[in-house]
Parts: sequence; C-alpha cells; structure tokens
Amino acid sequence: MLRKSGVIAAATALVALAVTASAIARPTAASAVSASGLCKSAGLGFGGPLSGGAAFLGDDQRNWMRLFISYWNGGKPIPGVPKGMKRVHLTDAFDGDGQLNGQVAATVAAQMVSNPKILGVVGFAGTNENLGGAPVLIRGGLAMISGSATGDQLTDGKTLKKGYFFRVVPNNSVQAKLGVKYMLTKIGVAKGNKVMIVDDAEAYAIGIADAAQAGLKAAGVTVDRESQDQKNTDYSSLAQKAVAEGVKVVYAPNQIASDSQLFAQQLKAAGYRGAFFATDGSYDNTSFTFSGAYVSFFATDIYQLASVHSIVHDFAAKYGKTTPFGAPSWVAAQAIAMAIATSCSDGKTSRAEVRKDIAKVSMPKSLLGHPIKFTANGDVATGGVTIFQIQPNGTYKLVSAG
Amino acid sequence: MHALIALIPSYERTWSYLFGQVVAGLTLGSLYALLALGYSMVYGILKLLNFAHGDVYMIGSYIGYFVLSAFGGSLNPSIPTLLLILLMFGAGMLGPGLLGVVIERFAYRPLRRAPRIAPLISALGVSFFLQQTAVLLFGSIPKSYNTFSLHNGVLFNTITIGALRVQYVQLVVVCSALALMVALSLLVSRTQVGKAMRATSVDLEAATMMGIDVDRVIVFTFFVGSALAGAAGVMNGLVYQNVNPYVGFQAGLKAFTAAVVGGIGNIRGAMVGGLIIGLAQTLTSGFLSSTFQDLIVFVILIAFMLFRPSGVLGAAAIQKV
Repeated sequence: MLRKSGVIAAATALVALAVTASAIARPTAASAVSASGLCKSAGLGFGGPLSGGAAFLGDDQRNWMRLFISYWNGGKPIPGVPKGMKRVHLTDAFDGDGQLNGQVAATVAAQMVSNPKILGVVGFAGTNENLGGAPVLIRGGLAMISGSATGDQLTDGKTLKKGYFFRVVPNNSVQAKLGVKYMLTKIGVAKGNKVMIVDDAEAYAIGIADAAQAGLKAAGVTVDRESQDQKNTDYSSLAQKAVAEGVKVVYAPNQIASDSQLFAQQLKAAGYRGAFFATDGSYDNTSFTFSGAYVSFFATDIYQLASVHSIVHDFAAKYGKTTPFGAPSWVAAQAIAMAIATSCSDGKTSRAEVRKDIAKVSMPKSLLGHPIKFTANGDVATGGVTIFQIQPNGTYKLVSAG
Repeated sequence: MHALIALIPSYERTWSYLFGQVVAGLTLGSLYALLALGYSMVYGILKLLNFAHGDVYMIGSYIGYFVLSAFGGSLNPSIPTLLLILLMFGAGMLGPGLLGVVIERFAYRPLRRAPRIAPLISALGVSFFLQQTAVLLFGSIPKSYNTFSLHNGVLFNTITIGALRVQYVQLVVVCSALALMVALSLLVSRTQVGKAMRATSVDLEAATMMGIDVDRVIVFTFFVGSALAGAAGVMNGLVYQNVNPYVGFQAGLKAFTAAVVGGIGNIRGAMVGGLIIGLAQTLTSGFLSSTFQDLIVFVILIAFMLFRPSGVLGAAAIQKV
C-alpha cells in the first residue's frame, strides 16, 4: 500500500514538475509561419483592459487600433504615412485583456507570443500591465508600443530590455516636471509653502507623484505625501488635513476621473481654497468638471485638431464617443504598420526586423498633431504635455503647452 | 511629555481638527456598521459568511442612483429633496432585500446540509456573479450621485457648534444608521419574529422542533440584512458619490472585519465594530498618513483574532467536555 502511494506521489510530482517547466519555458510560436507569408498578411496584437473598471479605456484604444487597420488596409490617406509606402495587409489578431493587472497581462502576453502571425503589439495600456506582460513579450521577441503607459521605469533600460518597449506619449517625469513648473510659476507656489501630493497606490500615480515630490522639494517646497487606494473613495479625512495644513496645491495623480471630481468636491466642502491639480488619468470632461481645477495631459485633445476631423468623425460614426486615451493607439498601430511595411521591402520579415524598424520610424505628422519619433530608450522624442484649467461650464481651457 | 506633544503638528492639536476626523470616522463607520449587521445576522443563524453581502450593498447603491435619475437627477430634481431621499432609501432597501431572499433561496438553501465550505464557495460565486452582471448591465464607468449639485449642495452645508463642524449629509447618514440599528435591536429583542431569530441562532434544530418555521426566519433574516446593506449603499452614494460594480468588494471586506471585531454573530457588536473600523481609518489618515488607513484595519482584525477572537461584545464559546 505504502509502495503504491509512493509511486503515485512520485508520478504526481514528476507531472507537476513537467507542467511547471513548460510553463516557465521560453514561450515560442505554436507553429512556423513563413517570413514571406507574413508580408502578405500580418497580425497586430492588442493589450489593455477590456474588462473591469477601466474597460472603457481599453475598448476605446482597441477601437482606434481597429479603425487604423481599416484605413491602412483600405489604402486611405493616413497622416504621416508616405504616399508610396507598400502596405502589408493587417489583421487584429488577438485582443489581450490585461485588466490593468500585471499577472493577467503576463498570461495574455504568452498567448500573443504563441501566435506566429503577430508581429507587434499595441499596448499594454497601463504601466502595471507592462511590468507584468512586457517581459513575456520580450522573451517571445515581440515589440510593443503603448499609447498610454507613462511609467518612467518602462524605459529606464533596467526594468525592461531596451529595444522592445516604445510609447507614443511622454512619460511621467515629463508630465510631473511640467506640472511642478506650472505650480511654481503660475499658481504661485513658493519656497516654504506646502503642497499635498496624493497618489492612488498604483504604479502610474506613484511614479508621477514621486517625480513631482522630488521637483517640489528641490524648489524648497514642503510636501505632505499621502496615498489612497482607488477603492477608498472617502477623501474627507485628507480634505480636512489639507485645510488644516494650509496647503497651496493638492496634486493628485489618479487614473479615475470621477475620483478626482469627488476629491475636489470634498476639499471644497471642507473649506479648502487652494488649487487642485490632477494628471492625465483624470482627463475626462464628462466625469471631471470641477471648476478651477487643473489637469495635465500627454497629448492634445483630438477633437480640437481640425486636420483630423474626418478621421475623428469616422470613429464616432463607427464606435461612438472617444476618450483622450484612445487616439494614441492609432499612432502606436501606425508605427508598427510602417515598420512592417519597411521590413517587408525585401519580401520577408520577422519579429526582430520589425522591432529594429520601429526604432527608426519617423512620422513628419500624426493624428496627435505632432511628429512622431522614438528615442534610443523607446520614449517619444517629440510632443509635449499640455495643461488645462476647467472652466465653470465644465470645458477644458488650454493654459500651457509644454 | 512636552517633547512628544511638540512632535505633533500644530494643526493636529486643535479640537476642531480632532472633531472633524471623528465625525468623518463616525460617518464611514455607520456604513460599515450597517453592512456588518448583515454579516453578523446571517452568521448568527446559519454560521455562513455571506461574501456576496458587499455586492448587495453595491446593488443598493445603483438602485438609489437610478431612483435619483428617474426623478430628474441632482441637477434638476422634480420632487422635494427630502421626499427624493426617502424614495431612494425605500427603493434602495426593498430591492436589495428581495435580492437577498433570492440569493438565499437559490445559492444557499440547497447547500444547507452540505459541508460548510460549499455555501462559502457559493457565496463567492454569487459575489462575482453580481459584480459582472453589474458590469454588463450598468457598464464599468462609475456613476455619480452628484449630490454636490443637489439644491446647490445643501446637503454639504455645515452646522457649527463651537469647534464641531458637521455637514448635513453626515448628520443624515449617522442618524439614519442609528435609527436603523435601534429599529433592528427592537425587532430582535421585542418581537415574535425576533424571538424566533434568536432561537434559531442558538440552535437551529431545536428551534425547528419547537415549531419555528426556520426557513421563514432565515428568509426574513436575509431580507433584513440585505435591506440594511442596501441602505448603506444609498448612504455611500449620498456621501461618497461614486458607484461602480466593484464598490462592494472593499466595503464588504471592511464590514466583515467590523463584524469580527465586534463579535461575529452579535448584533450590537457589529454596530460597535463598524464604528471602531471607521474611526480607525479616518484617525489614521488624519493623524498619521492615509497610506496606513487600510493597514490599520487589518492589523486590528489580526490583533482581535489573536487576542480576543470573540470580539468586543462577543461571548467566548462554551466548550462541552
């Protein structure tokens, strides 16, 4: 009996070991697709939140990618794509629901890697997702371009291997720097004043908050650094603290615009008279409409760009209203598409070739209203951060273009 | 001693600041207390931790929102504010109450004689089911009560008595919660059905043998507990505005902690536990840092589990030898 149990236990352990080994083994393509075949039809993967609290964001980004694919395949004019460029047919090969969660993103990344048709990934949307999913994509040789992940660590050369992760929006440091500069020069924060910085305990917000804190401290401003999880929506305690401390600005990077609205309202109810400054995560003129508040954003509102009205109109007709986070994914998809087209000039391509060509992509103009080029570490070399102030009627007025 | 006091920032040494944080804590704690009551009542009778309870609270929050929207929303209400709030509470309690009955009938009753783990897993399943159903039906974008706009934010006007400043909405929440808790206490201690509930919680089989219809008692318990959760959901919307399909998870966790701290199965303990957790959260945020507000709640839970598992008002279990 004991011997039989021992044999069963040993067999179970061996099976478990084999399963574990295969799970952590380098993910590879399930079957070979010829390099020339990919130049006839190539796939793009998408990574972002398609369920959960941020699903509206992921849906929007995926829809912009799909609209781009339809324009690209249909031969329609696209800002920044040279007229003579030979376009390779693209498909939306896989929609990876990362749920803004690193562990979930790693799972969908493995699925994308194992699909040999996929030559590049639009995404992941969130910094957290990239921290989990990007290493898996990198092991599979896939490049990714994000339209919204702004965490500084993604392009520091240490967290992720260089040459695989790119983004078409400025990183947190750029946004925080501009926010600090605005606070010091326009809002009137001076040496000796106090600023309260509240992050939402997620990688995105912590990154911006850290950068802003460093900038303010360097300017001699006292910083009260706080952290409140997105699931805790009671800001009344912090609001009272802000009033009691006499802070001049509450700087609150947050990925949920309605939470920023709530925080600003609770500050007002507590008697706060200083400024409220949110970041791109809260850029939403339907949910965050607190008069007088400031919002920094990593792109221009495309509704305000006359040159791309027709594309925006097409999007609205097909998918409805868009958020400001959607359009950068079009540009991300475009960069991958242009890289595939370039690498297919000799009739064959591979993930490695596409990756190298992404780094060389140069768009003289883009849907975002400015040229697109990448730096050596994958950041976008062009484009700046803008700051808006919310007006009494809820509209966003541009007050600074960095 | 003076040196220690000097370390505390000057603004934290004022009575008004302390009162402000206490009032915020009592407001939050009232929500947790109402939620914790549901946990305690169900545990007391069925020895079941109803993990779907937080999501019933979420549904109550949504019902309140839809009633508000049906009567013009906060910007343009078509009926007086007081009547509107009463209707929100009414619907926000009735809907979840009925939902609780349905959940008990289909998710827990068939498993009443199964091993304890089975209804627990069923409860988790119901929780996910409610969350995802809410995502499908209402979307994942948060809805806002926007009560700051209701009659020019009248709910957020303050009453000042010396160093004490209280917003009307905080007063509404605390007084409503207190009234509901008192009503529940009276129901349990002074009525026939309350007597039946107490008997069932002591010994379900004996209660059956004594002629008590335990199924009906259990259904009633679920109805009342879920109605209280729904009321807490509406209060969440009035004070904290935002409703989304995941709002019940965190609140449910804290309320469960409150129920354990107060003494799981003990109704008065649930009330006390809720207030303790609410105050711990806000006082930590106000006097230490908001970074630790969740940490302190679960440290309290662990401390009670280690040193006083029966909770503040719970009685130690009698062991027969």
